Amino acid sequence: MAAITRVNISLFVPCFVDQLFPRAAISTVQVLERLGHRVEFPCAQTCCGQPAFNSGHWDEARAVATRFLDIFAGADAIVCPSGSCTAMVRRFYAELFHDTPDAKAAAEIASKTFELVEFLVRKLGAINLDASFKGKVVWHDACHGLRELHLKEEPRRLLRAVRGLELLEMKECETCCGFGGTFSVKFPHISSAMDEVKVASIEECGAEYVTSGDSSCLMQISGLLEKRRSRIKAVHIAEILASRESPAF
Amino acid sequence: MNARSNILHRIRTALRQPAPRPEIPPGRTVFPTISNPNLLAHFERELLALRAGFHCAPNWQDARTWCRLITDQHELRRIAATPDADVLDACQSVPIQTLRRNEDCGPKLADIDLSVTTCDCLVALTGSIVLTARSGFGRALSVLPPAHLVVARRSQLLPDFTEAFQLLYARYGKSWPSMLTIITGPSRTSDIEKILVLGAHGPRKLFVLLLDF
Amino acid sequence: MSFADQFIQDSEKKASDLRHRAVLQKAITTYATKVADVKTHFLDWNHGRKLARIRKWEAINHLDQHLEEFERNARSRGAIIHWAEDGAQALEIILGLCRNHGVRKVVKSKSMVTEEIHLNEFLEKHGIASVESDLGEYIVQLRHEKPYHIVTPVMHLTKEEIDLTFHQQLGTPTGSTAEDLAQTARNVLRNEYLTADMGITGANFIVAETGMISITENEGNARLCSSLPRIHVAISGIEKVLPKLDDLALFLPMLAVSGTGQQLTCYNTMIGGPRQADEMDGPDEFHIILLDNGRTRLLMDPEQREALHCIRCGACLNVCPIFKNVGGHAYGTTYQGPIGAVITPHLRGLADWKHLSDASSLCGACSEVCPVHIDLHHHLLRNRRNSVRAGFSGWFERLSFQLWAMLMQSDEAYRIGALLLRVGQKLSSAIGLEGTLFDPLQHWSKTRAFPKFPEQMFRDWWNKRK
Repeated sequence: MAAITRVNISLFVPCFVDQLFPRAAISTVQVLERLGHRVEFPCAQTCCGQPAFNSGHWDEARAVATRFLDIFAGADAIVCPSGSCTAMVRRFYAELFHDTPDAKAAAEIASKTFELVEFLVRKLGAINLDASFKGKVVWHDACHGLRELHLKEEPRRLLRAVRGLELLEMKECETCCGFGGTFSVKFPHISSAMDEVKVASIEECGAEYVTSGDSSCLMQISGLLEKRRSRIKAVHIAEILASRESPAF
Repeated sequence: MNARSNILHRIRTALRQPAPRPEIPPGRTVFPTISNPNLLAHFERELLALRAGFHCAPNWQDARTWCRLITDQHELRRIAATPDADVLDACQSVPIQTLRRNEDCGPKLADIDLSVTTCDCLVALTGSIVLTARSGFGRALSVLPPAHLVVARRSQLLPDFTEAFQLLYARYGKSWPSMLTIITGPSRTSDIEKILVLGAHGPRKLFVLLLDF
Repeated sequence: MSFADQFIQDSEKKASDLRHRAVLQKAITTYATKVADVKTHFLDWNHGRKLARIRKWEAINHLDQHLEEFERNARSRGAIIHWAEDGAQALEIILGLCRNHGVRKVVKSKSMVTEEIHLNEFLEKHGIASVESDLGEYIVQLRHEKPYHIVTPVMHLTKEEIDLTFHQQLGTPTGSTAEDLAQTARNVLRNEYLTADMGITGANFIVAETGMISITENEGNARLCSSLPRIHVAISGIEKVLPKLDDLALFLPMLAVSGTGQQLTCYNTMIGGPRQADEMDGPDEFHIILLDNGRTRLLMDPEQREALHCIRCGACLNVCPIFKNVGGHAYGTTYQGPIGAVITPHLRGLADWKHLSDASSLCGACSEVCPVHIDLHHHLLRNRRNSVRAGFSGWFERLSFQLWAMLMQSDEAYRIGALLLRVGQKLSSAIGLEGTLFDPLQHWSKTRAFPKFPEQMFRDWWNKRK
């Protein structure tokens, strides 16, 4: 695929990754830099606007998203360790900015925004990242990554190339974990029921780790795993790909 | 202003705002093509998978013998047959009541075990039988009795529904019967815990006798 | 109680009912296996979806022309067409027909439109018996319940529960097999077909080119309802239009595959008029009622108009993780699942029914399986947007997002916000708020652990390493 030309990458770190799961973003930096690319983090960034957008508050979402467009205006490539936030920019900014003066800018930004896994596999052709992670790992197909970005084989290819990692499959791999943003607290009983189905599926397949491209899903899943005092750990795929030795998880 | 004009008015008002026509990539087919040599085998396979009975007869004697066999085997004693040449010929070895065109056969239908009819065509793709209120001799005959036997010719076997509808247009386009039906297997239900039960309201037993001569 | 509160109450009960979850899981897994298998018979299923979408676009975006064409063609063969703006008008039409023809008993086949207008209750009120002939609907009627699912009315019941219902209502012995139960229903209903004065059916499609209705079924009861009684009334939503008869060559398989995992259902019957002079049997009169009941409201919205393309297959219900956990009754309305959540605000009012669009994680599985390629989950999103624009969202939520937007537009404010959250979590922990009524995260932490904010945010790590 692509030769290793150095890419200037602007890192887009979702607000809750910045706040709650910084290791996913740190690992993303490590993975990209090890491949020889230059990573910069526009510090002024805050959020892509998805929470307000998904709840129907599009004016507020647009105000925040406009700022996003300004911050990333000069970027060559924008890479994000989250399928749902990437999908927001790539798929939904078009609708959010439809018939507004920023429509063109939104289209431009959308065309150069990529989720981490898709960037690695589809843009860089980088499958083997010289990573090593010992354990039985199952991949959770997060909804936006799967259905908006069409990621299915790509994460599995990356995981299979990790030394010491045994990749398992689970029955309900494509079933939603129940997070869905504010849905998880507006309808907690339904969200938890969906979580239970997902966790049961993970347990059934015999995995030691569950991984995904979305920290939000992992938060939902690990929230229940912890409540149940399960030994199964949730870890973002970036952390696995950045791992060089047996992790002390 | 009445309901009709109100509704049409609302529709026309709404449609003044267009919704964009979706795109579609050209040059793809949805259903597989079944070549001529494979038609019969395909039809038979599909029909049997539906748990219907099938027999391909090379001559009249064989056809009649088979009819005798299944009516005996399944204890189908009271048989109503349509006044079609092929039906009457096939049923020669079997005691039947021939239905008559200008007679109300309604009361008879409740008591019979088997109805025998022709059809308009057979469709190989899905193992289906197409008939109408004309070829099926009414609406109830092919659905009320607990068993139904269709006598068809090899030439009536078509690959798919595009051709089946073309045949129907050609045959009935100027004057459609009041009912057309596509029969795909015996009546069934899975309403109870997804357990398959045959013969819900329509025939539990369905047979196709194909005259291959 | 508002519909939203009722939904929360009912869905809460069902979401924790593990037995209910297991019954649904089993039914849907059986269905899913059949569907996956039958799709292998197609050369290009996805192309079929795109074609189906185009044909429905054609039908809906020229709806007035096709409906007039349908009316003309149906009339030419003796069908009598009625138009009903709402359920009340449709019911009056049916009552009028019953009165004019001395109808004492109606036998009907499965029709969601008849559920929509509450036909059975209305007929009973006017002293006309109405018997459901579809096995699932018959069971629902015996239990005095509503259908659970638009295609599979008793998906939520085990054989044992149905067995008990038959025993209680019909006096059959307990311990019957599914076969016995179906046979009992067959025997009981046979008599009803033969003695009913009127048959009422719905229509899966109405074909403009030939003025015919098309009915898809497996049991044969719809065929009997439209053959034996002397009057046949078919009621259909105006959106069921297909332009041409041979559109059915695509739509009948799409419906069967998505609805029940079959290549085709047992009977697909096109009816174009009452009995003709040279035909052996059939009703003397055939009436078709074309029902609006809010569909033109949906038509008015060019963005969401494609929701009218729905062929009522139920595939979106079967794949929806919300439906699989709360079941059909919790929705509290005729059309359940994702399609129900999309269209009910248009049919019955946005203020009252927006909560169904909120009760979704927007996973998109519904859009993926829809045989006519409706962008269902994106329509749920738009319902949410429309609801906010119309002023139906609560003040607290509005305020919260306004505050959030302010915070997010300044990285200093964002930092302060982040700090406050950290402090808040530490405080809450110190005071021991977690799990109590005052826990701000109670909706989360009741069932799931919430992570501790790490000491360092990513941006701090980034700034330090520079």
